[in-house]
Amino acid sequence: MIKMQRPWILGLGAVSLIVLGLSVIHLLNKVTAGYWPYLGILSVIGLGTATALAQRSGEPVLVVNEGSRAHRTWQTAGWGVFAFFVVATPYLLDSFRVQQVNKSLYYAVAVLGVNLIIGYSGLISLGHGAFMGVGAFMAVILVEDYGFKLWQTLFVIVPLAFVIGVIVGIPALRIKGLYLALVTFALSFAFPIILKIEGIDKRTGGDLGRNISLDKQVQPGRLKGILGLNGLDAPAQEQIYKYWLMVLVVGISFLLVRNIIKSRAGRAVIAIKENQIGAAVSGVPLTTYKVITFGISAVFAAVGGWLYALLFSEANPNSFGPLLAIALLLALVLGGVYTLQGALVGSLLYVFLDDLRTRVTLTSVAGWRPSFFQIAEGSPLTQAVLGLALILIAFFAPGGVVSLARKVRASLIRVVPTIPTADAVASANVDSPVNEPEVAPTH
Amino acid sequence: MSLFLQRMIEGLSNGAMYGVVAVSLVIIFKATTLINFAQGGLAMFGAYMANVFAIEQGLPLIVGILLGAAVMAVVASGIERVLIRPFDPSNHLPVVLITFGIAYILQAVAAWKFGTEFKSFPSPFPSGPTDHIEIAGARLRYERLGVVLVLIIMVGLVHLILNRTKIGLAFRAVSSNTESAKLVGVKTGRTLNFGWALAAMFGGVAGGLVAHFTQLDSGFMDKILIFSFAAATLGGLDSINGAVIGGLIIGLVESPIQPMVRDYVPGFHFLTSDLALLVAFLLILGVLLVKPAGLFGTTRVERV
Repeated sequence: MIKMQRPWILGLGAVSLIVLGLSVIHLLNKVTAGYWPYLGILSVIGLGTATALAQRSGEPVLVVNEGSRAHRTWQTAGWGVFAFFVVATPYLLDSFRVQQVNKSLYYAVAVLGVNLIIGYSGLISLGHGAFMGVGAFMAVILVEDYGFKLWQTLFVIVPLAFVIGVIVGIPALRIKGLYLALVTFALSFAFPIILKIEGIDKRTGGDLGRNISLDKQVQPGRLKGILGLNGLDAPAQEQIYKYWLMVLVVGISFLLVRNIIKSRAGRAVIAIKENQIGAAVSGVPLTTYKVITFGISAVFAAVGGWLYALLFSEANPNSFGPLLAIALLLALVLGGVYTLQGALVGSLLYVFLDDLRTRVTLTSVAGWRPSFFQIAEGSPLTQAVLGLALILIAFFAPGGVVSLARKVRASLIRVVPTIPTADAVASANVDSPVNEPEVAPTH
Repeated sequence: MSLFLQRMIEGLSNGAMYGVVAVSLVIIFKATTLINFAQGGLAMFGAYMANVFAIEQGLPLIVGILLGAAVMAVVASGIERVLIRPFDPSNHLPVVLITFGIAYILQAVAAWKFGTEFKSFPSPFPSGPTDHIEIAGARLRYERLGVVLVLIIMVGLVHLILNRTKIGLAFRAVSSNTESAKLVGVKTGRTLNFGWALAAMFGGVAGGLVAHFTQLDSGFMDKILIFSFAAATLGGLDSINGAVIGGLIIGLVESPIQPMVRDYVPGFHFLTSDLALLVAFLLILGVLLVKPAGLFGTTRVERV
């Protein structure tokens, strides 16, 4: 059942969304002067206007009953569009862009882990870059020195990361609030230094890092035909193959995290975040849950690091320092703390924003040349964009892009639970005689 | 022995620098229970401003450093007013994001405006090859002794400001109980603003001192900042004396203790100077496990 009023608002929103999507795709492919950047800005304004108009009247434009046929159709269509993009992305982009998508995918897994700690447990950790490093280095070392195949290393990495996470997590119980942020930040400074200690550097390669040698790297194997790789050039084959491996891991990780959050344990963790004392009074063992959450989040970060090793076939101590920790934080808050999709959306946004800033000059976006704003390509000033993003998010979208999008959607479309009609209630009652007082036999 | 003394004074002067930055962190933490991750960026920018005033404009170096610090104080109070005050300080994440954002922006602007190459920076104290006193064969250089002197002066200054002036009283009132301070008519906003300015001033002076030893570059305060975090955490984030002592301890760990352990304790030759950070990290971890509020911090009692 659908109730619609002033459908043009919805139309404005939909058109803006499509234009926004197209201009983003254009911007990703080539950065040239043109009308696309303006269209992008216009579409954002359009979306904002539609939201504001819908919010002013207080009534959503479209009211859909949950589980109604229209609702189901739209849900299916939404998943269909999503699936289309998952399948089509690697074949539409060139191999360099596919590599970037892959990069955001390994970020996404690590950010999922960070989200478990920052978003769902409310502890601020800036040390997850180090756990990623554990994953990446264990993968490289086991493959190179111990003859493991890359996929086999996961069986070592997952338990190891859990144990390390628990060991780091135990102090986290005592150390509260910003003290924890400081200590974990110090950990991410210390981690590359630990890897370069004389003796350990024989395994980690010291300042230079280590590569997985060519014959042990992941190569597109038997699945070439199924994945449609035949006839593509070698880098494209490699990247698309890795893309599918990563999609598999990312998919499994999201499913796992979703189930963890929805489980009894997940609810307990969220309860601890919302009200620690209340949770303790309700019988939630704080210590156990906090430590285990830390361990699990470390596992996801380490799997992210394993994907890093898969993608780049190398690991360097300097890649896993404080900058990575901040990047993970940025990706998390861009996408949305305390949202499941935020990890993926934020990682994509972060990786592309970080790449875009090195390619975009103001002249190439705006088309005109005011000399004051002339910033050379790759100028160090572009780094400020990331800082600006952090500040803008804290001010205007504390829940990240995902919750912003949810807000926009909620003001346009409302899904209401179906209220059973009187007939349905009556017929249900006939079906279940337990609730119905039986007519007493007269004889 | 002479080597030990020399290392000792090196450690103490490094510790003094960490201490000054740590005090600036503590001032902000006392006022708002926030940690300012942009403190290093502010200090770095202050040093660049000092470079502009003193080297490019030809002012005396001390005047240049003080002017740079003053500029950063103005910038910091602007940051506090515009970017920090709108947020509820008990919610940590937004403020962590904002201070990281400011740090990013300051570094980017510095690298853009002042170039990415290292610049040498003079010391405000005599630093020629003969400017040292000899005690028991150890050369104690004036530039190092001067840093310790500056620490003593600055800590004295901050105690004077906090304990002998009206705004200092207001600051202490706000940091001990914001609500009550508001009730008795203390202008909390202005007081916090003052706290940020004071902290940035400290950071700026520290930046001007550190730059001589590390050279000037947009990231030169990063390492100092992380050691200062360690110092402030060690001393307890809300204790000024604790920050100073923490800074000195970290400095001493870095300089006489770490090389001595490396040289004299068998099996520890891997302990290179890079590992001082690791040792400091383990130290604060150990202290926090025993005393979660640091050595001199106030323990907050939670009522269950």
